[in-house]
Amino acid sequence: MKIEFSLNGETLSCDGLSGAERLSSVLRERCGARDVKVGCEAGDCGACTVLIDGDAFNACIVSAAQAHGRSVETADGLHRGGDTDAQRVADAFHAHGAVQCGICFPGMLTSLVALKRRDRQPSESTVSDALGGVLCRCSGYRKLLDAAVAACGPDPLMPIETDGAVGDSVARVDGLSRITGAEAFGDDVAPPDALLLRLVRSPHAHADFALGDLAAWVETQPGVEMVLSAADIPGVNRFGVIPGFEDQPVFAETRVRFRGEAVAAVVGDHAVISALDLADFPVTWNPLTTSASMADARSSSAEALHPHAEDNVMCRGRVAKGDAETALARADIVKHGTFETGFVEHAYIEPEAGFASCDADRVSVFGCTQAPVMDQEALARILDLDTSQVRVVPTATGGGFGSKLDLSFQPYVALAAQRLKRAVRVCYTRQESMQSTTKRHPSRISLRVGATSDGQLCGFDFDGEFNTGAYASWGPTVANRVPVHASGPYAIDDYRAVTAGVYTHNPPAGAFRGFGVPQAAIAQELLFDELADALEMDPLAFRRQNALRDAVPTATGQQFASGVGIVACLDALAPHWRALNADAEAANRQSDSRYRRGVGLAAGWYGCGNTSLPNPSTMKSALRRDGRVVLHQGAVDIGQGANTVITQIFATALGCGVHAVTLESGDTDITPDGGKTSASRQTFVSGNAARLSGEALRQSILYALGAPDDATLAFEPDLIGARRGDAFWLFDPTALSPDNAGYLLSTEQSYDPPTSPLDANGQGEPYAQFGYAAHVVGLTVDTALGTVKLDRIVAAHDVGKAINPMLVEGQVHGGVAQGVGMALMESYLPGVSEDLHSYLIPTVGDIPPIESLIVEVPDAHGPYGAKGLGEHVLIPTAPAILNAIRRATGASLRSIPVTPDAILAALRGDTPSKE
Amino acid sequence: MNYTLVESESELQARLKKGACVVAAGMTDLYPSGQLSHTDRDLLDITRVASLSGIIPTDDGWRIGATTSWRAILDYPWPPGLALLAEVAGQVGAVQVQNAATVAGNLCNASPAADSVPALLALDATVELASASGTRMLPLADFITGVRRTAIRDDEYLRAICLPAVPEPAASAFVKLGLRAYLVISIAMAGGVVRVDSSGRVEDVALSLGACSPVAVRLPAIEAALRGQPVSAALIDCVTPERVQPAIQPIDDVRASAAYRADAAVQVVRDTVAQMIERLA
Repeated sequence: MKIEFSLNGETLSCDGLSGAERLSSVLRERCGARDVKVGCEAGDCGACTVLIDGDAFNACIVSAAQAHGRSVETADGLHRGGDTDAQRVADAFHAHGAVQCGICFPGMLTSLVALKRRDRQPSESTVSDALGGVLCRCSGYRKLLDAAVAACGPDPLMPIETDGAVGDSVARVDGLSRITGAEAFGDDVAPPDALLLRLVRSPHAHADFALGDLAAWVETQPGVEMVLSAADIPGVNRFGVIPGFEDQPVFAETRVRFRGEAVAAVVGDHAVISALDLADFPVTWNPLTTSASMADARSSSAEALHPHAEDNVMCRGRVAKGDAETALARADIVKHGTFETGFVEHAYIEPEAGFASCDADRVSVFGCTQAPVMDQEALARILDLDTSQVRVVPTATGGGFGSKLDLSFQPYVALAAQRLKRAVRVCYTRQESMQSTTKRHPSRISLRVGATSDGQLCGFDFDGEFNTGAYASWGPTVANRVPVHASGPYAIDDYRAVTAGVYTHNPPAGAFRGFGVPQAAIAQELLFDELADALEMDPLAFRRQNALRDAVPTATGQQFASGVGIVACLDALAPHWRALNADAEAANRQSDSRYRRGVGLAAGWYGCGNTSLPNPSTMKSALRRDGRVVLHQGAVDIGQGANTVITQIFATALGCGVHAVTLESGDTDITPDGGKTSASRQTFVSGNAARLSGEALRQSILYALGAPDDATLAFEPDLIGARRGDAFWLFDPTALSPDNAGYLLSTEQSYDPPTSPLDANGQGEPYAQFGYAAHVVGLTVDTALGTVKLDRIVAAHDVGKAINPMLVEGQVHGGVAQGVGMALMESYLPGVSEDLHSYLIPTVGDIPPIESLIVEVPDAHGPYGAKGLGEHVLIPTAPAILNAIRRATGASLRSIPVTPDAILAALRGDTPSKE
Repeated sequence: MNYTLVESESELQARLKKGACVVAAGMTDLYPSGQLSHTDRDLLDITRVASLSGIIPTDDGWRIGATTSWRAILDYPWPPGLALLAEVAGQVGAVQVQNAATVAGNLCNASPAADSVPALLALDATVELASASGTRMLPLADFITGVRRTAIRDDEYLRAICLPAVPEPAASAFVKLGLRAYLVISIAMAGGVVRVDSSGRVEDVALSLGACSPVAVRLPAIEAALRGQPVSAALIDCVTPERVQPAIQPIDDVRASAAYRADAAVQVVRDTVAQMIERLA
């Protein structure tokens, strides 16, 4: 079929199409419109929204034929083409800090342009309706909504031009391209002639299998170049992220252990592979008994998933101090409970994607990732290459939240490229992404907490099992982190917390914003609320009384001389807590019994960086021959803002503005290891390396100038110099000879946070810094339907020093939104909720106004006093919501998500108590 | 698979007569459901057939053409007795889906959670089925025969949905219960249409419930209890579990338990009645 249509004003003609080809595919693959981002291919996420004759459509579920004769407009096309609505909206998004990873923003932008063309002065609810079809996993929507309303108003906010010194809310240095879709993500970078790879995956959670005659099958499939399986791996068919726990095969060999595990890959011509029906791929399955749950896996009849774990316990963790049992016996009141949580899916809108190429003996992998150097090292082992023969080039990453720390697509395309000496690309379908990549660990936690009648905590005994799925991934980290954090930010003398990671026939559970701490916080913060009630104490006063303070030992015996910010967070929240409670009480007195208001509180803490392990970052900076300052910034920005925040720290240390700095990405060939983007470590650890690098480069420049230490550097387009008082030193670039990279001066600086090992009882100094948080949630429960309407969330976060307050707020909003989803709707069930219409994440209509209170209690080690934030933001939200529901209705909830059926069942089971 | 942009109903009828075809319009279900992958059936895209488009007033009501999108339903100035259609339209998916998806497609798809069905049942809709061998009218309740099953023949297409007028004074309401604000499949939903006589009593009323049984159902026991009653808040109490629950067969699924659905079903009908009363005031 031949179709003709107008794309961003230009008439195009495409011949030889199947009329049913998705418009998104036609636009991206045939017309080069890579600003159309694809998230789900099912009309569930809206990222691919384009305008057809001015109205918003999901390009992934519009046929090519339907575009015939129509006008199609895309986000970057509109923006580049000078559409004033698009430019106004993009500027407002940029100025408000609305964008994070940006993969959904082309959809947001086009949706809003469509609205503006119909309605010049839309209300907030109309704007919300217009954006309701686009899912965003990063932003929490509130800044987006504010920006969208402003863009439609008379006085839209424009990006502020500042130097971006530490403390400035400078707009993201890479923000605009992420808004318009000009930014290249994992599936946007493959060369046009790249072959396509698809994976053959198990339909069974546990099965033996045998591959048939693959060579014969390839012969019957024109356009298929190659099939790959475990037998083709030149190196080690195992990977993992924790030394000693590399238990996951790239391709399963004879047995699969979770639904969606890869057994083979087919590679060939893009059109052929896309259309290939894999139903007749030669593989036979012999399904086996499945250990679907931790209880199944721990039962005496269960088969061991791995020979190294006979009882299916992957590993255990423990922290103990004092005597928890005796203290609980001594306590005046003891509360206990058993809490359960399920799999939570990261649901970033960008599925795993990238491509690999091979020149001579070197393999290069381009794509989305949170950890380029870890990828490089793992790929070298799998491909039997030296790490110097593997290059990893991170593209923009469309959300990660922990799951893109692990290898996913990389070994398959790398292996195919190595074998074929051709570029090979892959993009996971949404189902593949959900089936095969890591999840948040389901948990089963038993907790007992005691207190004396004066409100002092007295004994804490925590026993948690975490379902790590079929392979270890970050399970050992969860098992070790949780006992350290299960106390919450409180002082408890008599403490015991033990954990076990359990193998089951499920997708691997790995890293997800908080590494098990959010699950533990639910148990701890719910029981603290119940203790406060039993003691007839205000829940905030009870927490404040027991909160950690400077020089008070944590559960691991660690004492911080300064920087413990939980009391400051609670104090910042206190007026909001009182006001929201007063409102709720007044409303409950007024209203009938059906709608009940409640206010809930919860706190949290999180240690930044690896637990008691080395965790360095290195930052290289240089002065280029043309006078530009270059920062090799290897801390991958997955949307959280590292490109901006690290640059702000570096620029402040150097003494220049952020716009004077040119960034190089985390390409492993040119950029030193910035460490993985995880554990809320980039602002703290990489930020310190950037600070040191900036200071060192400043010293080098001053030395070259012969200027004194206290001179001020000046960076102008054609001039570099230093000034002190009336004295001025001018830099002469010809006086120095450039190195191979063209740099006149360069420096590499590393930072590794000081920690100490934990002993057998988990005593020691696991982290050099913690960040602190507390949230208050006001909500209304419809007691007839069990539905929850969130009215307002106030979030206090001690970040030490807000390097960029606007980006801090963005992190808070995004984390709160993920906490809302986890509390109220998210439940990943293998084989059931493998798409984004069965697995629900919050939409723009589900997130209430969020007030962010930035608390700054400086950290002794952080750059300019800054602390990490990425994971802290999620931890208090879910327990605060559950506490608010209990205060509204008396329903005591012990598992999440608390869907309406669960709330109604709890209400029927419990007589609502008078609060 | 061949893909044809059909230009006229006569072409459509001729192609359907040959068999092995799928009729496509909004395609919002065809792509995600996988029906387009590896099929040898021909796709007949009817979106360019002029005679199938639009909402047209008739002597005794309205005709909604097969390619009418939810967006068109949302924007149409319905009178109070049919205004629930706009409420439905505004809650189908989100804007992108409303622009593409058609009401007729929602009926032909015959999902138990099809958003259009409760409202159209309450409005006593009939569907006009056409083929080379003629045209027949079927009440909606006879058209949808089960989960993803309809009475349409392979050679037929759904030409239009016909709605009788609802004389005023009248009110209508639609209540959808889901787990989030947009892009959500119902746990339960109810539609209602009420007409009031000159003495302020319920002259006629229709209530229906979706997502709680294989096919959405009318609730005759409640309708009978409401008929002839004076319009007041007391009508809400006529909606009892005894009158609702025997009409439905709720199931457990990823969205809610069967037990919850049975309770929620009663409540969404109560809320629908309450909204209609409010609108009559």
